[in-house]
Amino acid sequence: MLQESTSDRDFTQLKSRNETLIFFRFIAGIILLFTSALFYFVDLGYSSFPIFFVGICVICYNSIFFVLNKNTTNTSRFSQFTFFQVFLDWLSLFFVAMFTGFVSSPSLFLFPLYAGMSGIMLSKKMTFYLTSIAIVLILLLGLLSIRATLPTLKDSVIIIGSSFFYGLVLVCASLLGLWASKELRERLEIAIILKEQFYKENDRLNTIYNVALSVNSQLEVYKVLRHLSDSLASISPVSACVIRLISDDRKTVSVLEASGVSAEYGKSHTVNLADDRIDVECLKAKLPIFVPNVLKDPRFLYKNEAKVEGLISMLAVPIIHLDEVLGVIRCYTKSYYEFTNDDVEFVALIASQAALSIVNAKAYEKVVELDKSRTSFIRVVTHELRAPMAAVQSILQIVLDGYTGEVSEKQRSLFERANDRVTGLLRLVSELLEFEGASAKDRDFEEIDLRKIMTDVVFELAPKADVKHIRIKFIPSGDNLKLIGWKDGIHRVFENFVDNAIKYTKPNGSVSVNMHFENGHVITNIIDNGIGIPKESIPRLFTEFYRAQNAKQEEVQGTGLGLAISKKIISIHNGDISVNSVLGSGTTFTILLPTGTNFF
Amino acid sequence: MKKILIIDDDTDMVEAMKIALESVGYNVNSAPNGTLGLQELLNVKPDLVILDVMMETDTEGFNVAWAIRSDDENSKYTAFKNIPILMITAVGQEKKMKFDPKKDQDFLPVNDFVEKPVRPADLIAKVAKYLG
Repeated sequence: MLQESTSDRDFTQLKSRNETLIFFRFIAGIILLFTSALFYFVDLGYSSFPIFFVGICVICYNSIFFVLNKNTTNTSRFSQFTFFQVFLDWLSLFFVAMFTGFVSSPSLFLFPLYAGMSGIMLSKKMTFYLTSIAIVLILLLGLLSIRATLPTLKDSVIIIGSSFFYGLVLVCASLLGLWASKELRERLEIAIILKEQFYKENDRLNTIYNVALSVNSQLEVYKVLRHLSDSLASISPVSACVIRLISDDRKTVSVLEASGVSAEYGKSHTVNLADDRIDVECLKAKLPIFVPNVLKDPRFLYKNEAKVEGLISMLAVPIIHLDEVLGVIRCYTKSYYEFTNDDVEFVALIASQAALSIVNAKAYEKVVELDKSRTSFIRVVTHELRAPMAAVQSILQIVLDGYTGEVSEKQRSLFERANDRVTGLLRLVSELLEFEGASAKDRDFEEIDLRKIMTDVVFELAPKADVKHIRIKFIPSGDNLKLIGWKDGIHRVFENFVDNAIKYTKPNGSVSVNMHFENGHVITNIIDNGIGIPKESIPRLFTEFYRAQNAKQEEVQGTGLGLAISKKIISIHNGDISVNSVLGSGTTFTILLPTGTNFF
Repeated sequence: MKKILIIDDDTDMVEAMKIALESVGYNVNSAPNGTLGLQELLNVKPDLVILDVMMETDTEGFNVAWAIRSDDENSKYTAFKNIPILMITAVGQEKKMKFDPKKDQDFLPVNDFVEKPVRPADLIAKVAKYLG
């Protein structure tokens, strides 16, 4: 992976260098054309045509290179291609010098300049070849210069001397170029390493953030650990991650989650803690353990399996919460890797998140269990309570109905009082049972018509209202008063509120119910002009067994469970309930039930 | 004289029903659980059975009813396959539901329900409906 990216980088670098070369070469070609024009119009002792010709040649071959450079994708050809370009440039330079006075040509300074440039741009090997060619060309220029001018011996020595001098300058320029390019490369590499490091740290920060997020938002430990092991396994150089949990009795350790390995390797299983020396050491020392090569470490249990998976180095980090080791996170790499302190710190941070999640989940499980046992306890107790009370009532009824002989008025009144008390108790037990039942999840949900249910409720309770001369009206509006819900539950809720409204309204008062659809909710208002609810009682109104002081004073029968049951049923429907009350003048209960909830 | 078998583990409940039913001239026998109840069924050969839903287990009453109503030709209780069964239950009260024997008979093999606590007049009326 790393290698591939390096050659990719080289490729783009070569390509952009070629582009620079080609750009400057176009300028050089144009300058040559201008120079030839200058020579044509101003007599400087040089002939114009050869320069013009070289300029045209440069522009021509440069155009070809321009096209080639754009279309080449093959890396190996690229270096040959660059070599060829520079070679042609040397030739052009050679001709320019040849036509402008050989060794004494003013263009000669271009030789070391170009040598320095190619030293920066090309590889060491290529610079060596091209510089050699350039030196040969300069020497050739010297020789040609001698031949063309047929100078004196002294002049020849000067010519040869200056050729050597230029050759030397050329070599120096190339070396300078190479050195500069090496420096540049090194800095570039440092920059690249820093960039990679930055990305790595960024990845890690992201991982920590996401893991923290999932720990805070998830109570299901499996989901969190899954996320955690996936995250770890995706962070270079780690390629696999296994999370092992130590049992509460510290006798066994089980593989809970695994990422980056085959299903076979990662399948959950449990082993004796004592058998796994790495876990034991982790547990004892509470410190991370680094295993350079799992295949060679005698403490590592799964050598054959690890061989198949290609796992080499391993870092085992204990999951610690409040000084207690809950498990171990194992990170594997698929090539030899020396985990750094940074790596260890990072995995330890993730491990601490894992610890939190495990502790949270355990606490949650306990709460759920407690809730379950509380529910079943209440069920058993209420059944046990109800059976004898039902028997008592049945027996009282037998006596009251005269099946055991004549009952005197006094006896009847006493038996009736006893019967009433038992009836009250029985209602309490029923409501308790219902309250627990209201939280059960497995209900029958069906399409229900709230208008019909409320109509039934009002009809059922009308006789009760009549007794107190309370006028009761139901005003539904619109048709969209249906939703998917629990019919008996909603019936119970409506009955509860309307019944309460009647109960807490003084004789000759009125109760009105209206119902309409608004913003995806069926909104039901139950309005009475009864005794009202004291402000301080409102927050506790929906609490089990709570009854407002004035409600108790009214001596109206009630168990304090009705509203709590209603609230539970409404919350099963994802609904909401609110209350608005003025003491002494009346109360409005508003029930919001969303129509969009799908329970299937 | 028509015979009635009450299968219920609550002796006080049995006693109350017994007083009511005997007062109008029925011969009442009883059994405290499902197993003994089925034995008594064969011994007493009643004309009607009153069953408690919940005895030792939540479904014992139903199991007894299903045993009596069994379609198996080799069943010991074939002779009683169509005997009227009244089920005593507090379920209706708990769930605020009103049993409809016609509808519920599709899944519960009983003829009618008697609500707990028992009102003697109701009980007698329901028994009379099946025994005449």
